[in-house]
Amino acid sequence: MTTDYTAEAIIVYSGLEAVRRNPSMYVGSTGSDGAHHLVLELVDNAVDEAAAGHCGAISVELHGDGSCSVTDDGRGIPTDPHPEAGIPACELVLTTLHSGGKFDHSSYATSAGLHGVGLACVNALSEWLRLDVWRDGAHHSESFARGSIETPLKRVGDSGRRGTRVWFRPDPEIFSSCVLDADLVHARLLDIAYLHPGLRVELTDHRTGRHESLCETTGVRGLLAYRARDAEKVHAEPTTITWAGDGCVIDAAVQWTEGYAEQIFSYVNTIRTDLGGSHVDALRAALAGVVADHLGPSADKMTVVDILEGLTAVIAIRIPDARFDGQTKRTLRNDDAGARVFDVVTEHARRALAADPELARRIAERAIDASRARLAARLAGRTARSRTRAVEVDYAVYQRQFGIRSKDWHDSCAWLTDEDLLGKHAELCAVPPDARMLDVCCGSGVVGGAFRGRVGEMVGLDLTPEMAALAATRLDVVHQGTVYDLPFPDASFDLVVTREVLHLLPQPERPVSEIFRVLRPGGQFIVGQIVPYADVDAFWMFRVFKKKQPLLYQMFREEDFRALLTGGGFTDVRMEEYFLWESIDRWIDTHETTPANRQEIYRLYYDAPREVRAVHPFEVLPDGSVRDRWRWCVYSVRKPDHA
Amino acid sequence: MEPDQSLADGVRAAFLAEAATAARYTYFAQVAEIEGHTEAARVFGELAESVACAAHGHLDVLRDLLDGDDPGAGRALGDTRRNLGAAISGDLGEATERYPGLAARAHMDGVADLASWLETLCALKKTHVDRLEQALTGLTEPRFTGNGAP
Repeated sequence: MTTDYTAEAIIVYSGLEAVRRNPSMYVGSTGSDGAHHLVLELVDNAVDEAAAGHCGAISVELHGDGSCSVTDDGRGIPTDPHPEAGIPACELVLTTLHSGGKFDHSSYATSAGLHGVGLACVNALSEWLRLDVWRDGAHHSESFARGSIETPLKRVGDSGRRGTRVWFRPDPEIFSSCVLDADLVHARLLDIAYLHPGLRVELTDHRTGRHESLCETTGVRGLLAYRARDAEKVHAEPTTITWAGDGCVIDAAVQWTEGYAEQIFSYVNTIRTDLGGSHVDALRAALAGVVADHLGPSADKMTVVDILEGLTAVIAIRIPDARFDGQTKRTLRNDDAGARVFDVVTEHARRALAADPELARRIAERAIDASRARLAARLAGRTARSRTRAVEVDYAVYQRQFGIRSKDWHDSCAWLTDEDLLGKHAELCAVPPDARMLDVCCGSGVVGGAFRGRVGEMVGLDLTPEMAALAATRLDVVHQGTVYDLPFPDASFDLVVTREVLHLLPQPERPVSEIFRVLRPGGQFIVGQIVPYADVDAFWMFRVFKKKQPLLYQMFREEDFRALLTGGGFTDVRMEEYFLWESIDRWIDTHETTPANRQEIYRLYYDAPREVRAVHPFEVLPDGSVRDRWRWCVYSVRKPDHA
Repeated sequence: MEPDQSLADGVRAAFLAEAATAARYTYFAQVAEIEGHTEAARVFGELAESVACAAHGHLDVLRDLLDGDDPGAGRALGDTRRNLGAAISGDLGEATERYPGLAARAHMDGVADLASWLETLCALKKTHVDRLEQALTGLTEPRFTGNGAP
């Protein structure tokens, strides 16, 4: 279906001056991302050769001087003079924007590279670049500096070899960071190896001696298995969808996991479209539609996000005329491709569910679970609220929320078991060694457990039977009960400890006064709480935390929390700050956060107001994941001696 | 518009409505995007841009044609000095009256989480008043007038 790939097949459009003037427009950024983009651009060109059936091996080498070479065993870029331009075709490709074999579909049916902008772009943004072409029995080479010819194309000698090597060094005048990260390159090569079964892909990092050779045969199915390797699966085997026609190819593999997040890895002409686009929208809509049809009337109260909760999927499509938002290709815009994906996935998924009733049953149950959890989370807020007017708390709501969570409690975030944070609490301890301690709302008992060796007796209390059972492994005795009405006589403890609890309780002054009551005069209360950095991030944190946990009732600022303690009669306030980076992705991967809320939380971070960013450190990583540096305040207060 | 409303009052009301619409549409766009309704998200997003632009147009009209007050605070619109004044008076009202009043009401009604939300906004607005006051204090006389003439 492709005609000869010769100099004539290269089409000329215009010059490349603009690239160095405005590099971000072509490679996305002038930071480290942009420098990596150059490597990936070359890799993608080699992948195009492979996809066209002319190349079986691609090798990427990262050299000690910061340069990188990409070699393939494809046809070699044509070296004969271009009929219109009168210069060697390979030189044309490296020095002219919008020249290349990809504008006319006869040389490449579907291509990954940036439509001919690619090679010239890499050349323009390289301090130096050397091209080697092995083709038609000869070895040619040519070298460039910042896009200009240094040594014109010359014949090096005879060679029976075939292929192209581009060796370049990203220009430090353009990129703020030129250090190439082997892991980043490897991640992309892994995608390529899976998406091109049989293609050999090698990575050599001469700086560290690392060498990886990849050759996969399992396609999207294998890629999905790799991506979901740590997940607990709802059904053992992924469902795969394969379709080809009209010059398009659709490959997809889908599997539901017990996780809360929805993860779709999408590719167009083997380029990762990490912001999705019409193919991803179509996949989601088709799967949700088929599952909803299968569920019948019970799907009425479900949302697309309920049905797709825990979905892990890989979709790779190949289409001619792929249209993207922007040059770095992160969102596909082709509506026609979307419509095709929708039809194909709908038909295949419907057939798969009909053919495998057990699969259908498991997916349906997963969706029903998700929608129940979402409704429960929403109701949790409402039920607890309607009771607060009567100054009465619906304990069942808390029991349900934390009972479910007890299953994977310590996996749910880093702070729960962070030794240094627990140490901060324990260090404040100033009671006699035979002291009687109460860990109130003890959860799994880790806070109380951190006081082992500093006190005589460790008593725990929690509302949830599952949590009380967990805590029994760390504390001497654990009672089930409520902090609004502690089941202990006055003055029965020397020390009370708790952490990150009072914000979940309406009228927190009541539990504080109960704690005050059960402490002996002179007794100590140690309590840790996450608080905003300043007045300008409190409202933003309220939104984040409320979306994470509908049972949130307070976003205490530092002075609010202090006032809560002193207002309850406590004195001798000491406070220690502790800053802890928390993975937000992990923190919100929980049943109490609805899928939509999870997305909204990400957006609150992505679009955080500048006033918030100025005071509250957090990081959004290139893959969209978020780390927040939480400000913990750990307080020690005393019940006065004379009280 | 209401028959007894002045033209300026009518435009002020229209401004408030457009400003609210712009905020609503950007919010709706996000909901649509999360639900996977990409096309609806795009429509809301694009409409929000136009509506925000229209809201600014109402402010142009109020300032240039009707010589009206800042619809946000009942204070005169104009150059930055007057705008800072209008902004301070608006935020002061929110920090000392609107949000404390609403928070008290929420406490009375037993809606603890709403009360906490409103209190975070009291705190925010107080910092805004401070920042605006600093900006006003630090305001130096402009060396050029708006039309570029020295």
